[in-house]
Amino acid sequence: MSQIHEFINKVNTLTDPETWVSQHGDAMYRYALMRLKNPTVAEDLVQETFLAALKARHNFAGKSSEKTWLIGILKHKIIDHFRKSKREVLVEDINAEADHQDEFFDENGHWNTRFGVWNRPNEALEQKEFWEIFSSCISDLPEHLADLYILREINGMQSDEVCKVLNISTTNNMWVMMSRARMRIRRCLEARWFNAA
Amino acid sequence: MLSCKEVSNLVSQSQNRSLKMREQLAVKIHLLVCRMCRRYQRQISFLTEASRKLLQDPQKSELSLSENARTRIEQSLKQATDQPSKKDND
Repeated sequence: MSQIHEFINKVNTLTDPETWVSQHGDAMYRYALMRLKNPTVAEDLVQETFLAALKARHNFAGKSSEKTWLIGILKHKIIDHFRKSKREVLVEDINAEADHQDEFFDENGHWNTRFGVWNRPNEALEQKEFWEIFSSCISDLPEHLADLYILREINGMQSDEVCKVLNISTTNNMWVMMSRARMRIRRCLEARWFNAA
Repeated sequence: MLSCKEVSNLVSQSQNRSLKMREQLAVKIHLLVCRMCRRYQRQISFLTEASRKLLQDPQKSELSLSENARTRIEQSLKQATDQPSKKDND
């Protein structure tokens, strides 16, 4: 409870824009790159985000951290980019994901497919191709699961900040979505790496 | 006893937070008798390990801004700070 109070009472302030790139540039680039799979576009969107943030900095309300605020702007740039490039964009309520019928379990909550044993997973970590497939399995997630997994697991953002930036309404929804993301990445890795020899 | 669906969710949560005592116990009991969920737990732990390693060399350099890009972005930011453009109405 006291944590929540601290959280509500905390008003964040922005740092000097000159320090933004060194503080947040890599985390933002990583997020953009993993979503877009294109280094040039990712760099451009990071740059656009910083410029937009600079213009909007007087509107910063201090309700989230500077990083969360910047990531939030970048998130919208990424959505715009997909929209412009005419890739299909499913704008759906992110919290609906938590209620989706499950594709992994039968009606009794048992796994509906069997999965295999992964041979020598530690050797995979040493191989470049593995990392390409791993990244691609994350990028190929439905977009809100990709956002969540990248920000929480790769960038290490705190759960409350992730929920704020992605408009996830409850922690429980976040856990359900995280679990769903992991199942999909697991299935993808099994198909594309461990069973693919 | 918990279902595989419930256990998989808790196994996933255990990657990010410590489970409560009764959750831990319930998961443990299920895992004793369920080979699929044991396999699942191992593989999910591997995902977590891989996710943490993703930011280590040599992948790290590919997941960071290049020196060129960094300089370019810093310059554009500085330029925009020095000469604030006409107010945008968006």
